[in-house]
Amino acid sequence: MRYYQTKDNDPSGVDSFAGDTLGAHETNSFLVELENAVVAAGLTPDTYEGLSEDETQLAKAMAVYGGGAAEWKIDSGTTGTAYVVTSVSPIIPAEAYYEGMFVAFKPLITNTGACTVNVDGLGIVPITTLAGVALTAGNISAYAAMVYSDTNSRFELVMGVMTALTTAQPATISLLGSPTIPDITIVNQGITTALIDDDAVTAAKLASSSVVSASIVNYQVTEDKLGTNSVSHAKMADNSVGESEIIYGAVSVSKLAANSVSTGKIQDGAVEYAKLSNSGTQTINVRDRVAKAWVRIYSAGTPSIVGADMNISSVGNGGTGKMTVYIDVNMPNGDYAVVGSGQQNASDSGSSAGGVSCAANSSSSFNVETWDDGNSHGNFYHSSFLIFANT
Amino acid sequence: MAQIIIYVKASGGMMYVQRVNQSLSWAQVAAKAVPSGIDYWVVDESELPTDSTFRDSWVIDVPSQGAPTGQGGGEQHDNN
Repeated sequence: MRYYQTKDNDPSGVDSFAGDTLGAHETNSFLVELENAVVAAGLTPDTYEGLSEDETQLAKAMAVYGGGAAEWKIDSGTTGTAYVVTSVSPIIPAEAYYEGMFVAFKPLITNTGACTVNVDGLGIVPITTLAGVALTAGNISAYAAMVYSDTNSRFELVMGVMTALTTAQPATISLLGSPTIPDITIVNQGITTALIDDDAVTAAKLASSSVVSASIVNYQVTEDKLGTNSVSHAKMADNSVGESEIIYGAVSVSKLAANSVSTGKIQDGAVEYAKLSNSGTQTINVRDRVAKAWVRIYSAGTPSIVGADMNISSVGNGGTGKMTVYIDVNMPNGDYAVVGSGQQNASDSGSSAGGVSCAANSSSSFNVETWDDGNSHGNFYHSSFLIFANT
Repeated sequence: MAQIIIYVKASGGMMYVQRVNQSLSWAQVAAKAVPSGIDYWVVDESELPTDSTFRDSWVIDVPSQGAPTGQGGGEQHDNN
């Protein structure tokens, strides 16, 4: 082959035409190039001519080259340190080593250490790992595949098969020229989450108890990763779920089994009034059994003194033995029960005949009157009142 | 010194009201404990007589009390 478009014919040579007109020899040169490509691929040029000629033979030759015919070599070396490999006849080898040149061959002898190769007589160069480290004994025996690095003037082993593949024993593969790895060992965090497809690891692939708690990062297992009822009580160690891990409101009533919350599981003060039943069924209504307001008043002095109370806003004094008690949060209506008691004098021992009366005024107040043992209004040493009402 | 509400009862006597829930304002107390439209004053409880023997005769010297603190909004009943 030559640069036909830039070189004039030589009239003194085999072609007598001057200028840039191709002669028969040059025209034949084209065909020889094509014929060599076909023959070197192991094909015999078609004997037919004209319309019956096989005009796909160049394409077939290219298929042979593309299928690896030029990359596969035959070893004829006699030691485990110097391989001599050549192309399979009639493949025409490359003219020189080039960057990325791929060569594969079956070694006749397992390498015994650092080694070299001479491919198609192009020159002796080292075979190393991709990192440029010399091979060690046994790196290649059944098969070797390597790539030429023009920069480093060496072949770098990309795969060396130690044992031929049989039905009884799978091939042992040396990755990147490293020593034999009988089993692939995955180092900690060697396979990151991003490398695992969603749902790729099914529960059946996990041995029982294979994932220990320490291997699960805090908050790594989100709620949407847990199937309904997938975490049973038996899967939780005692005290494993700390109170701080339970979001307020996360445990709904429907998540609690009947009788699952015993008294000991309820914190002091945790049960508020609003949690008591106000059912229309009287036997289970708790709120109606709870006093809605109460107060203890000492009236002997002026002004009177409120000793203690619950849900009382103020106390009015309208005269001797006459008081009005005002409720802070009103009752639903004026139809509620007021219960009162009193002690006329601090020294009374229960023999006094005084009395206390009380009656609801409205949803917000009730009147109190106290009578001494002379049946006259009198200010009592103390008196107490409480209210029960429907909710 | 603690304070109280005083006002003139419908019968002419004096009613005083002690605030029990200290988080309530006097206006809130009066809205319930002083009858609607009745003037009231907030005074120190020390202004009450210490002897309650004649409690039913107590009256308020309205002119000397000056302007009322406000007017009530509550209900009228027997004791007030």
